[in-house]
Amino acid sequence: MNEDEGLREEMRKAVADFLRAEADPARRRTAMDSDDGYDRSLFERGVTELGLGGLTVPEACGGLGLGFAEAAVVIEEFGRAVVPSPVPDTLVAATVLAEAGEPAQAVLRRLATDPVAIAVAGLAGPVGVDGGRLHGTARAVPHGARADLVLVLGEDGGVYLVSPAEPGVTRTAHWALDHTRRLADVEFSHVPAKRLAPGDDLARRLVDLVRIAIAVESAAAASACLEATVAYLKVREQFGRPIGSFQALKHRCADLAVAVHGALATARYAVRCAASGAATDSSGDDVATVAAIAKTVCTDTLMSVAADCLQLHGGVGFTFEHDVHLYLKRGKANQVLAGRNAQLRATLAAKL
Amino acid sequence: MTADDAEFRAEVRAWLTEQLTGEFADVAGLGGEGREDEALDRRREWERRLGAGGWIGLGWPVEHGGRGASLAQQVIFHEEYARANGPGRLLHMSEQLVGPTILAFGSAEQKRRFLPGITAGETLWCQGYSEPGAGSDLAGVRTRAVREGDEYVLTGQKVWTSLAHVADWCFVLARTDPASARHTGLSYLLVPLDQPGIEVRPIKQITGTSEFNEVFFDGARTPVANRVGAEGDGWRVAMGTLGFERGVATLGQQIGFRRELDHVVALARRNGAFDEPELRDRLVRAWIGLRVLRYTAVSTLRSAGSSVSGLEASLSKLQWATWRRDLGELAVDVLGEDALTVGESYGLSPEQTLFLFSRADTIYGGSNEVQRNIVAERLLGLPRG
Ligand SMILES: Cc1cc2nc3c(=O)[nH]c(=O)nc-3n(C[C@H](O)[C@H](O)[C@H](O)COP(=O)(O)OP(=O)(O)OC[C@H]3O[C@@H](n4cnc5c(N)ncnc54)[C@H](O)[C@@H]3O)c2cc1C
Repeated sequence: MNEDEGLREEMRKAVADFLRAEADPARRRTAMDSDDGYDRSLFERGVTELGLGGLTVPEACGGLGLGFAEAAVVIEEFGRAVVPSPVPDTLVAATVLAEAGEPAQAVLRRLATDPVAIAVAGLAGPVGVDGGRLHGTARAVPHGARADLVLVLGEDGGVYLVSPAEPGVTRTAHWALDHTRRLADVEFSHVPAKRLAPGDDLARRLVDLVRIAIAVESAAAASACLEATVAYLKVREQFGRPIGSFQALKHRCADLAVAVHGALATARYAVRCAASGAATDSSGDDVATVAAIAKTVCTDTLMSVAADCLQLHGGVGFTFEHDVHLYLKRGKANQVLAGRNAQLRATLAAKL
Repeated sequence: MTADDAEFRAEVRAWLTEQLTGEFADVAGLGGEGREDEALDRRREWERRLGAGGWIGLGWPVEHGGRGASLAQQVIFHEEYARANGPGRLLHMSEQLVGPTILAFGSAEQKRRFLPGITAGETLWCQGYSEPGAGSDLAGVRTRAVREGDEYVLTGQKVWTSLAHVADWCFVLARTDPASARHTGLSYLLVPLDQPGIEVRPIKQITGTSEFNEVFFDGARTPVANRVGAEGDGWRVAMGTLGFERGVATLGQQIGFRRELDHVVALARRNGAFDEPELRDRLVRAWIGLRVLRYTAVSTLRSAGSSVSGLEASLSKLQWATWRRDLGELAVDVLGEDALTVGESYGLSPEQTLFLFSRADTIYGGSNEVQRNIVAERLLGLPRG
């Protein structure tokens, strides 16, 4: 293990311990039913105690100066426990803002010290831009109604940072199929906004990192869901033996384990690609390609793992009290968010 | 189809249309899966109306309030019911599970006492089989019924008991011989729910609604005369019921499936999903799948005479449950982002309900895995695992 990996493992442990203590099932449920849709105090403590907000903020701006690889470790742990939280999106946004450099200095300094939740808008269709003003509606924005800032993809290929307090911004909160991730429509009516960079590199970066973050949390969630199911199959007895001893279930779990293994590897590979700064990998794929592959593979894996795990639990899997439906619903949402998988695959067809 | 059948269909259709566009127009389409709590009072009135019209227990002998209708006519009724968008049936366990069991195994006195309440659309029954320790392995039942004079006293717990919170009676599989194990020493008891010693606690499901319950028995009583079949013979009686559960209604059910599919296709045409090759391919597969369900049901009925074998029922359950689960997923995929938000207090659209509730289709009434075991052992003759 090299130094970087050692650091990441330490971080993983710290975040996992933190979530075990602060986001146990009961508290997660309180959070997902609350007005905010997430536990704000958990978010604030994550920022102040673990430094999550400033993780990817450059040291010059008061942050920890770490990169997307470290952010991904945090996202994995939040994904494993399907924690309702704006942390993953905020980490992605902070990474992109750090790459924007000078124009984002002020917000980066804030991120390093204050709990600032950032939502990413425009992935379900970019927002109109006209003479430096945003207009139109960004749909299905995760945690969009309660975010402190919104990072917006404009249809001109620009990325804009907007405060929802700005006149002309209207947010409509929605209850979501996925209890653990509230969605909002964010409407802009001719809101003046600052474009963070010329060209469209930053926008493409934002899209790639959002997709990879979804892949990372999905793979981790699939892994946790399967672990919990396997543990159940070892103790649940029917016909005088643990149901996990039935070959039909054993083989199902083995198939799921193969899928999870592949998904975790894919997600982590995508993270390394995104963090490396190289234009293409050894297969000649750019980050956008790898991100699209990872997003489809990992979210499909989560969906099928969660669906099977629900089935393997029998009646208890159909109860609200059990967590398995949270994974199922997250899986469906992740297949659709940030580019539906079928559409991503249609785009990937050009690579063949 | 015979001329009689055509006439019968016309009669059913006319009656249902009159009711469901007239006095009962408000209940049409209500109370489907995942929405069992809708308009409960009106749906109970509806069951009484069905009973008064003579539509409950169609296939039962005339002397027990039925019409002695053929299998074909029963199918016609189910088809027309689905076509008329009849509300979700509250008495389906009464009519299709306990009723046939009493007919097959009950005493003359039990038939006189219990069947009229069902054919009149009055008595709502629920099924008390599953327990925390006895799901797929039903022979693990531990709820005890101890004889005290001419009564049984019940202690134990049932779980996943659909509609117990609104039911009047429960048919319970209980252990009457405390020294017994597995399939022996069980009895099939008819237990009134409205009594001290019974507590029903609803369980919230992944849809956010509660259709099933925990039922606790702590000194609940039922007369010995309410035991169906001999003491200790409950397993055989209960297995009879399971055979009925996996029975006749499938062709009618397919009309409902057809409606669900048509709805999804219409959505896809409206929102452009139909033009996406992957989704269109899945829609066509769903359409073909439903045709195959139909051909299968038709061929089963052609060869079945008056009843459907347990094996055929297993094949059919596997087929339709899997088909419908896939349709549920397709429905939300067609909607895309629109499927990701729900109404106030987790109010689900019909597509979202289909997506979530169809997950249960592959679990209740014998899970897919259990059905596969049956098919492997009884159809293919593979050795028991
Ligand atoms: C919506 C709903 C309504 C229901 N309504 C009723 C009702 O009204 N009355 C009632 O009595 N019950 C009802 N049930 C209970 C239902 O019949 C049981 O859930 C079902 O029999 C499975 O039992 P279980 O939940 O204990 O799961 P388990 O038996 O623990 O099964 C867990 C997993 O192991 C698998 N498995 C078990 N044994 C084997 C094997 N030998 N080989 C391979 N795989 C195996 C199962 O398929 C499942 O995937 C309902 C269930 C649901 C979901």
